[in-house]
Formats: sequence, structure tokens, C-alpha cells
Amino acid sequence: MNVTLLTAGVRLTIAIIAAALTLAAFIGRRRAPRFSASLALLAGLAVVVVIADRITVLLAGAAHRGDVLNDYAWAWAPPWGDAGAWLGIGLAVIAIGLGAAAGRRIQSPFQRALVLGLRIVGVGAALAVVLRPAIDLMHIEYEPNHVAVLIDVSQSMGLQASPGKSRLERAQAIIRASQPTFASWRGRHLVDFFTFSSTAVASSPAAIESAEASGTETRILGALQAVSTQLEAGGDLAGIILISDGVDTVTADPGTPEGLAGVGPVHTLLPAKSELRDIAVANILADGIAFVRTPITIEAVIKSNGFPAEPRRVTLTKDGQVIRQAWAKPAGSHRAKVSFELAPDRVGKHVLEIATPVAEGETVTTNNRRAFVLNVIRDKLRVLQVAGQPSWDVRALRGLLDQNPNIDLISFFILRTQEDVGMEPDSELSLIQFPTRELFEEALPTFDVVILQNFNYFPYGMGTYLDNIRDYVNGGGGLVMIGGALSFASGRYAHTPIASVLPVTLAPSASDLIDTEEFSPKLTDKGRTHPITALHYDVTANNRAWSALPPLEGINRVTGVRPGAAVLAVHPRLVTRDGKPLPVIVAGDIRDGRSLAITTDSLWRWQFWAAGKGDTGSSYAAFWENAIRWLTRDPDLRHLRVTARAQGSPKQPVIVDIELSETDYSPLAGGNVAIEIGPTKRPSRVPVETMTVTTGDDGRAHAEVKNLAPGPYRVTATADVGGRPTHASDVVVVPTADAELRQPAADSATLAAIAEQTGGRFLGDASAIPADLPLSPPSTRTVDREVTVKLWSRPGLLILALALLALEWALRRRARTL
Amino acid sequence: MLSRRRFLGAATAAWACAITRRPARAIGPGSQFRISQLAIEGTNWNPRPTALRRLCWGVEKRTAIDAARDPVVVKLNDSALFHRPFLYLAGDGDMPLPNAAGIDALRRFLTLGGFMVIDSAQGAASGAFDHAVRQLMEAVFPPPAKGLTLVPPDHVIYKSFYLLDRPVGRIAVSPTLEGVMQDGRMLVAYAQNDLGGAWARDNFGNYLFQCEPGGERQRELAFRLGINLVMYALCLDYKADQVHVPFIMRRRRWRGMGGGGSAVP
Repeated sequence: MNVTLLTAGVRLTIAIIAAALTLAAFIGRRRAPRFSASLALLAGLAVVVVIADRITVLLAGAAHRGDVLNDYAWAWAPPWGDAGAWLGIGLAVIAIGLGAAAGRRIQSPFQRALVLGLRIVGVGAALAVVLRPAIDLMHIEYEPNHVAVLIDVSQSMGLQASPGKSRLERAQAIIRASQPTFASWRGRHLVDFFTFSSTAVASSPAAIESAEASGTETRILGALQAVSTQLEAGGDLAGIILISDGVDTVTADPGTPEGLAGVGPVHTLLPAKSELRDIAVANILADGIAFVRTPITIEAVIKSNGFPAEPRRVTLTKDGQVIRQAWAKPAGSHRAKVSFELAPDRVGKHVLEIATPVAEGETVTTNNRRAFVLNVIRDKLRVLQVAGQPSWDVRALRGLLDQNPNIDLISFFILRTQEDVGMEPDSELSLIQFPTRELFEEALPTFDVVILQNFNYFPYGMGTYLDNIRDYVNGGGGLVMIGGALSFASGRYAHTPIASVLPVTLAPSASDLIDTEEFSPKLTDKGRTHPITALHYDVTANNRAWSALPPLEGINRVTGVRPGAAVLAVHPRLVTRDGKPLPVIVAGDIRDGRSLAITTDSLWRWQFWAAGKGDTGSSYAAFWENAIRWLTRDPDLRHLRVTARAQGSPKQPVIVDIELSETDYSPLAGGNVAIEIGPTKRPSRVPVETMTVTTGDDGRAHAEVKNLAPGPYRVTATADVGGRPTHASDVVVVPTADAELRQPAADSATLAAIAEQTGGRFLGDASAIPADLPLSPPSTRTVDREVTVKLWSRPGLLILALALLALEWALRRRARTL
Repeated sequence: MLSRRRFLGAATAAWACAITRRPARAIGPGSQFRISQLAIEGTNWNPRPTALRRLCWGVEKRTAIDAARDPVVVKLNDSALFHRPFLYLAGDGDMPLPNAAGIDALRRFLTLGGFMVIDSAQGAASGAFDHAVRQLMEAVFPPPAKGLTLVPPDHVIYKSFYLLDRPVGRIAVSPTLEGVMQDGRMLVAYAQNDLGGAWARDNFGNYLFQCEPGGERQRELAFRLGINLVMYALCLDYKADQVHVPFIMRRRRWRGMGGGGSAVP
């Protein structure tokens, strides 16, 4: 232990100043004797200070006597404590002041300076006797704090760092080369080793030596936070040394102050050179689920290594079509975030892809695009009800749908036509223009179901929008046409695009388009179990409910039923031209959409007439609830469900899970399910893989599809339920590469940012951990032995003080100033 | 004032309608709008016999509703009560309370989707008919149900087809409608200003009563209120949908600044 009072540097500085002052005093002794005398005084005092320091240290060292004491602290012990010290200092200042005032009468400036110097030194020596300076010699035991060394063992660490050497091997070499550093920290720091990929695991140099780069993801931030929390809780943390390639596959930017709050200091070391030139879609920040028509933000992190910081075009593609584009300018940390806002307009699973063009000289091009599946669900059904005139049927349906909290109803009723007479100005009416363009061009895709209720399109210039309605149905929308004198063939729908998406066929022109007689519709065999007309689960109860319904009145005559459509209820007497019963309720799948035809406008009777018979209109409500659920493909009504999911790597198989149920929704055991895996884009839906699975007792089956090339796929399952083929599909994206290998370039910018944010040091690609890392000292220490040595409380000093003051007195007497 | 151009246009349109009858738009007679008129024995339940025919003629001519002209007379114990959701009850004097079965039937009719317009032909804001109506409503909707309450001026009934400010009829003694509301729906509308008196005509086409104090403008507004009541029965609160709100607010503001029709009596 070396005891020091003034450091060597300070002493040297004082000595130089003293020499300079002496020289200046000597040079100026004739021209400016008074000034030179002051300089000489200061130089003398400086020399005295240095001498006092040396003597003090000598005395303290002598007191130490090479004991086991390893630390010291300076102290003083004046009589009466601090008050005594201040009194002593005050008296000393007064004594020096009086000496200085009396010395003015001395003629010679040098003599005067000498007298004052003697006074100062003498008084100082006397003050030292009073203040009794001391040194506390101690033996202190330190509780070493922790240095955590984190080694990244994710798959990307297996990439080559230098010829013939992987990043992990280089990290292992760094640990080996750093053993002297670890040894130098012994006693003050404990070195804890961890390896990490998805989580941090305690390790040792031996275990690190045999570690493999096998982790499937890298969570740098998570590992730092976990280790920091663990070590801070168990003792204090001197610092963290992170040895990683800096590629975090989970966190978009681990180098932000928010994420690193409370972590650190972190010293980072890159076991590779970031020599690869690569642009990558590094991360996509988006929930996999969105609500239909609710805006969402999709963020992507674009990373650039080895390229100048210039704007790069980034596109968002949905189901193969570019729907948004933005410009990213990776700079600084060579990463940039781009945001896309969109409000998905269609329920279902959609394949979205974020891509940036391949730049010339890129090492890896597959990571310039990244696809993911967005599952768009609905929070509310959106239903458009368009009616050609107010009627009891319109009123009943609006009242029912408007009360349903799960339905967002948009109604448009034609309250007045050109044939109606009005003399009043428009300002006295509440009527608005029928917004055909807004409804059938702009907002049409936002509806889950469109109901055309006794509505004739012709007077409203809607001919140009019929194609949109057809495309809407073909694309997955639900359409209901409800009868009336303005509907079906009477509404001039024959040979229009709408006719092609109706489940019934229409007569092009005929006079006998409507029958106005009352009738009670008959359920067909299909209608007894169809989800729309099954008002009750039990078939007998369902038949009873149907027979109790009030009669309907009036029907639109249609010519037949579209092939594949299900006739659910028919007229008891009337027939079509081909002799089949005239359909009343017909449901059909139209490509991706669904269509329902109700050839009467008197269903309202099932509500209000039934109320007169003691019913509450529950059958009417059940019928429409069923119809809306069927039209929107409510998952609860599906007998076959398929779920496909890809795993993190293209080498791992895609897992397909099947659930099959009977018509009564009990599990269907032993059912054969044909599975097809093909591209998502029309029209090239040629399957790349087909297989058949059989369901177990629980109605479930499981399949694994191997060796699929990266990209999006539609998985379609087909099974026979109740004698009818049933389909279900799902979308899955096979990743282009393992998450770890998507960004092969080492990310020195992230490591530098982490070090900067935590107060650590970025060591670059150093070959060993340096011993002089700024680590926090241990904060816990124990003093187990203490010796106090009084340095200047001795008679010699008092005699010296008296001698100096006597000499000063003698000189002053000689100068006759007493 | 009606401009000459507008008058000629309207006259031409009326002539065209008279000679070319609009094709029927309901698929069967049951689907047509038709009013059920409630007959309570022992009362003058039809004080304005031609009023509803004239109102329905107006509904048919002015709106897209396919309306039958003649009302159907029903009693509370008729099964036909539930054949049409629109019930009209008029009177000009005391009215005995129906029996319990009748009260139950009326309650069921109203709560399960029916709509009733009560029209006082008494010519005063209170009196025997008014007293009987309040008794009837209290019997149908006993406390703690709210029963008759004032219809707020922003209720959709005042904008279901025409934009109206006040409910006037042959007279204008009551500045507001009263009604029974349930779950946001109006079950009963009670007008004390003798709507039927404003609508009624004789066989020669002459109106039977003078409208006071507003004259023919007041009669027109009475027709408009009748049409609004019919429109409300068939469309419910359609005109309260958000899509209509900005248009209606703009037009009301424009009228308030002096544009459009004359002031309401």
C-alpha cells in the first residue's frame, strides 16, 4: 500500500512553479524588487509545502510498518472538534495578517518577504500542532462484483468470420485470449459466463469451448435484460461484455434507450468483420390479426450493410398486388423503419409481403422480401339493406338487424320515386340523393352482406354498378335478394350481371312474373338440415316450428334453380316450367361468395302475424340469424376446419390440423379428408402436394407436409359431410430461410449503439477483452482492522514553530520595526 | 308562395298520375300498406270517416309506399289485429276501458312490433277523450312503465319524410305529440290537434273543416305529419341513421335562415 498526500504530478507541478517563480524573482530583483520579493515568497512557500508533504508521507509510511493494512484515510483531531479547528485557523489568519501589516515598515522588500514567510510557516507549524492531523490505516475486505460475459450461440454465429473460422470459434478464441484479463480482475470482480440465443443460460469457459451455434433465434435485448436483472438482484454488477454478431432476430432495434433502460454498462465485441454487403427486410412489426375495416399499422425494419445511405423503395403487397409503397433511408445504424397504414376490407387470411429491390452486389438476395399472413377478422358484421320501397317486410328486417349488437346496419330505402308527386321544395323534405356510386363502387367491398329487398336497380342509373355487385359476390361477399314486385325478373334482373350470382334463374320477359295467392311453404329434404332453415336442432321440433308459421302471401315466379344451389323451401302448389316446385328459399355458393334468394316479400308475417298466435317472432329472428351466419361463413357453422402453420425453418414440415364434424356438429370419426396444397394466386392453383388423411374418434386429423419451397400456399381440405362435399381452406407462408440466416451480415452498428446507450465501450473486432475496461468498482467493503497514527502532534513541530517565529522576531527587530 | 313554374309542374304531374296510374309495387294485397282502424264499442270511434282514405291517397301519391286507400276496421279481440302493424284510434268523447283480454291484446300488439296513432277529434287539449286515452295507456303500460311522455322535437317522427317543427292538425292547441317509447321505439303517438279533421273531405273533394289558425298551410302540414307517421311505422328510425344527419341539419339550417317554405302556424 502506498500512502500519498500530493500525487507525484502535483508535486512536480508545484516544483516547476517554484522554480519559475524563483527565476522570475531573480531576473526582476532590480527593476521590480517588491514584485520579485512576492514571487520569491510564493516560491519559498511552495517548497515548504512539498517538503511538508514528503515528511508527512514519510511519517505515515513509518507508522504503517508493512502491516497487512491495505487502505488508509487522512483525518485530523483538533481540540473541541470542528470549532477548535476553525478557531485555530482564524487565529492563524489573524497572526499572519498582523505579521504582514507590521512587516510594511521594513525597507527591503526581500527582507519583508522573508519575515512574512517565516511568520506563515511558523504559524502553519503551530496550527498543525493544534489541528493534530492523522492517518487512519485500515484493512478492508472487498466483496467482488460481477462481470457477465455473454456469448451469442445462435445459428448466425456459425457463419464464417474469417477464412476457416466461424464467428463462434472466434468468440471462443477471444475467451481463451482474455484469461489474463480475467485473472487481473480476481479479488475485485467475479466473471460469470453466459451463452444465449432465445434465452440466457449460465455457462463456463469450458462449456463455451464446446458450445455450438444452434440457437434458432437471437434475443440480444432479452438476454441483456435477463442477465442484468439477475446479477443486480444477487449483488452489484460491474459490467456486461457482449460477444455477438449483433443480429437480433426478434427485436427490431435492440440499441434504443427505451429497451436498454436499467441495463449496463455493456461492452460489446464483434467476433467478425461486417464485410458482407446486404440489404434485408430485417423485421416486420405487425400483429397477425386485424379487424376488418379498422386501420392497422404495419412497420418494417430495413437494414443495409455495406451500401451508401440512400433512399430505398419498399413495397407492401397483398395477395400478389402492390397496395402501398414507401421509401426507407437506412442511415446511422444502417437501419430504417417504414410504416404502412391500411384498413383491411375483407375478412379472411391474406398473404402480405414487404419487399425492397435487390441492389447490385448484394451477398444474399432472398432476404429482400418477407411474407407473412394477416388474419382479418370482423368485430361486427356490416350489412347493407337496400329497399325499393317502405313496406312491412322492410320494417321487420330493419328492426331485427338494427337491434342486433353484432351487426352494423346501413339502410337505404327509396322513399319517393320519379313517379310520385311532390309540390314541396326539397328543403322541406328529409330525402337525400341515393348515393349509388359511394355504395356500389367505393364502399361495396366493406360490406359482409348486401340485401336487395324488393329493389329495382333500373330507375337509379345503377346499370354500371351491377358488374361490381357480381364481382363482390364472386370475390367472397354475401348477397340476398328478397322478393316483391320490384325484384327478380320483375326488377329487370334477367340477363344482368346480378342474375349470374343469384341461385335462381330468371325469365327474360313474361307477363306472369308474380303470383299473389297465400301459401305455406314446404321445407325440402335439404331444408330440414340446412343451417339457414334449421330453426331448431331437433328435426321434429324444426318441422313443428315450420308448420306453425303463418302463411306467406305472394311469390316471384322464377324459372329454375342454378346448378349446385340448395332449394330449402318450395311453394306447395306452383311449379316452374320444368315441373319442379316453385322455389321460395334457395341458397347457393357462387365462387368465393354466397347468395340467397327469397322469392316473397311477406316473411314479416313470421314475426308479426306469429305474435298474434302467441309466438314472439323467434322463428323469424332465428331464420335471419341463420341466414346471415351462413352468408358470412360463420366458422361456427363449418363442419370442416383446417389450420396450417409453418415452423421457423423451411426445412421443417408445414403442420396441417383437421377438424371434421357431422351435420349435427358432433365429431365425425373415420372421415376421409383430401388435402391439397397449392399456390394462393389465381388462376394457377395447381396443387403442388396432395394427400388424404382419416379423422380419429375425436374428429381430428394431423398431417405434415415436407419439402415445400419457400413462399405462400393455400391449403384446401375437402371431406364428405352428410353426403355433400365440404371445403375449408387456410393460408400458410413457408419462410425463405431460417430466421437466423435471413440477415447474414454482422451488425456492428447495433453493438456500437448498445455500448453507447449503456455507457460501455464498443471494442470492435478485438481479439481479446482488454484489462482496462471501465468496470464499476465493488460497492461493498468491510473494514475489519483500523489504526490511527497522529502525524504532527509532536513536540519537535512545536519547537520548530517557536524557532521560526523567534527567528522572524529577531529579523524584524534587526530591521527596527518592532 | 308557390311559384308559377312549380305550380304548373305539379299540376302536370298530378294530371299525369291521374291518367296513368302507377303500377302496383306490392306483391300481394297483404303486403300493401293499409291502416287498421280500432273500433271500441260504445264510442264514436270514427269521428272523421273520410280522413284515413284521404291520408292514404296522399301517402300513395307522394311517397313510394304502396298504400291501400280504405282502412280495415278491427277490434281488440280480432285475430286480424295482428295482420297490420299500423293501428289508428280516434275519438271525440269518453271511451270505456276495454276488458282485460283487450288490454292484453293491445299490449301484445304494441310491444311485439305494432304502432298506434291516437287522434283526438275533441277539439281541445283536454277533455273526456284525453282522460280516456290516458286511462287506457296507464292500463296497457302500468307503472313502473313510463306511459305517455312528451315526444322531443328532435325525434325522428319529425323528419321521417318531411321536415316538421310542430304537430298541427285541424287545430293547433297542443305544441307537441305525446308518445309511449320502449327500447328506442315509439309504440304509440298521441296527437291532440285533430289530424283527422284536417284530412277529412266530402265526396265532392271539399275539405270538411277549416284549419285554424293556419288555414291551408296548416292543413298541408297536418298531411305531412300523417305521412311522417306512416313512414315511421314502415321505416322506424331510418332517418336517424348517421348518413342522413348532415343533410337534414343543413336543410334545417337553411330553412331557419329564411329559405324554403313559410313559417309554421
